[in-house]
Amino acid sequence: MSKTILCQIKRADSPYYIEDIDLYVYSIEELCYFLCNNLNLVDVTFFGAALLDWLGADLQMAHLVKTLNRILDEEENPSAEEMILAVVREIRWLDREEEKKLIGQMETLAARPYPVRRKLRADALVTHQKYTRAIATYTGILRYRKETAASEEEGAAVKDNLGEQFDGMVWHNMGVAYAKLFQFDEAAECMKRANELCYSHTTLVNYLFCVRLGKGEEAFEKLADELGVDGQTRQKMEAEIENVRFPGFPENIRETINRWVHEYHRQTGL
Amino acid sequence: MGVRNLTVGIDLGREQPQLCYYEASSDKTITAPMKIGNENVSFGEILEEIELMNSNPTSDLTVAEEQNRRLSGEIADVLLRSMKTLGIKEPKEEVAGIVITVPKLTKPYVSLIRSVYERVGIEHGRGYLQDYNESFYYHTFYQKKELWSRNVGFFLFEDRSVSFLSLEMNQQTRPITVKPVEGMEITLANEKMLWDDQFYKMVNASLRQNIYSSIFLMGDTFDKNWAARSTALLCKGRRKVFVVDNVFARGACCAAREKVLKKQLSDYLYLGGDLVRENIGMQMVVQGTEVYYPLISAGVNWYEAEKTCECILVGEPELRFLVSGMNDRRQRSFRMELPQLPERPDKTTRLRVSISYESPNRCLIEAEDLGFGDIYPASGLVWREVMEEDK
Repeated sequence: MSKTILCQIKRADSPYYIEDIDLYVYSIEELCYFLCNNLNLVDVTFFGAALLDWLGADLQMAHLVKTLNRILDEEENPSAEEMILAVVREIRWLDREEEKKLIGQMETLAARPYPVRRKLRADALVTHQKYTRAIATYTGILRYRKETAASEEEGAAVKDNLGEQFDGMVWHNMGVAYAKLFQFDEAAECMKRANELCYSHTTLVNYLFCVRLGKGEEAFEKLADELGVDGQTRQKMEAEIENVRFPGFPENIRETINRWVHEYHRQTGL
Repeated sequence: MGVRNLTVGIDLGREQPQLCYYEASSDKTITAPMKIGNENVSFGEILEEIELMNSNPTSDLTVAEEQNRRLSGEIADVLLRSMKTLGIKEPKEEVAGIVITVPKLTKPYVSLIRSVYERVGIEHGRGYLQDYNESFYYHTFYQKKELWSRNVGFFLFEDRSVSFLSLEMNQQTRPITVKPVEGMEITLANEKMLWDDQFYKMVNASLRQNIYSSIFLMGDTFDKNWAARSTALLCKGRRKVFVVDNVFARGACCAAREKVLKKQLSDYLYLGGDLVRENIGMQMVVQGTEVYYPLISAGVNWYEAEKTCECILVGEPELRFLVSGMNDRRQRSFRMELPQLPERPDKTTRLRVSISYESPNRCLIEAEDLGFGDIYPASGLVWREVMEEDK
């Protein structure tokens, strides 16, 4: 059985560009869909002047703009949650159950410590292949952690109960982002820090892979010896490397290179 | 050029087309044959070509479009020049509404007249079209009420053929419905001396015992010199009888007045043969509430019954339409499948749904996959379905 939802607002001729994930949205429905499915990426700065201008001029949604401006002007600390709800409620994008679920998700997210929320954002950026932005966010988290640790010692900041394990995960995911950009030296450095903070099988293996890809087989063997990696793990890693298939030469080199260049620009924002 | 607020009616079907216009400021209606300077104009050849298109419709859309483009260009050119002759120099500025009338509306006629309006610069909402029967309705109902308080009859003489049309009102309904009823047709004999007897019998059979407030006659063939007996029968019982020459052009002009200037017939509903007799709608979520969303309302002419909307699909790849008759509340469901629609998460398929008519009982539904912006690009798929009226 199907259901249809009437679109009462015309699609815009000029789209709104969501820079974070390099996405153009043309309709209020697309914007609602993005908001509901990317809570980690949306904070109050998302609702900037450019978005409000687009909503007012291109989608002709003066009432919604008024509501968003009211929230921004009247509230001391306007929240992204309130802004998101204002948008989805304007066209009743969600039914009661769906809205309840969304509110629950937003509450869960809001209850998490600030560094965790930032990490979720950075992880989402990695998922959307926006690696440079993700790296900047991970770096920001680590800086923030360092600064707050100092403040906590002085008793100026509230403890967020996040241990070294959390920092290790941040280093690890930053390493993944660097590796996706083929910057294996930086990736190896991150993995090393990750491995030091949360010594786990995954961080160890990823650290070794990054060294192997960045510095070669000899450096890999040497490091494996230094870290006392057992034979079984080494064998598994070798098997994994051997299973990597050579992709072959693309049929249309020019087209493929252009695609890679485009992807690189997308991923780095350069 | 100042705004003249003219309403114009044009009868394209005559050997010599007629134009009738009404100027609101002077409250005057003027009817004149269409001319360019002193030269008469005729659309005879064009209309013949249209008739050929009606009887042998081409399946090649390019050919039909090219033909439509050529013919509409010719008509628009003549129309502009003959309007200029009558002092209407800037139809785009001076005309508030225009109705073109032809004997019977078919798809080629509708496309042609719409293209003519486009070329003349008359946008949708100012340019209309209707058939002769509807023009007769407007012509009649824009007369004094005493002339149409009961049935109204109309005899049309075209060479030696005579046809009868009556307007029958149902005062029990609200709005009051007015139905055109086509009556008998005869062909007058070669010998003129037999005509009066033939026509007398036709009048007798057509009017029977029914009460008629007025009778209109039109056509060059009619002349009371040969129709003494039949004229007496027509006038029997103080029936008002009029011999007129501009029923359709004037009726079209009155229709234009009704549509764009003042609604003086809002208590009446004309139930012509071109009316769509079914309501079509969909169950849609509008502002969070599931409601019946009307797409086509019964009671509009098929060539004016059009609707396009966009919706988001949730669930199965199908559209469901709810169809109900004009007078009964019985509803039937019409399901349109959308095969090969790409699988996407719920609420990420936007569809454009367009409804139009090919004839009063043949509805065309078109659905186009618009995708969901850059998140899920459009597949470009278009589905078409024909829905016939449930008889």
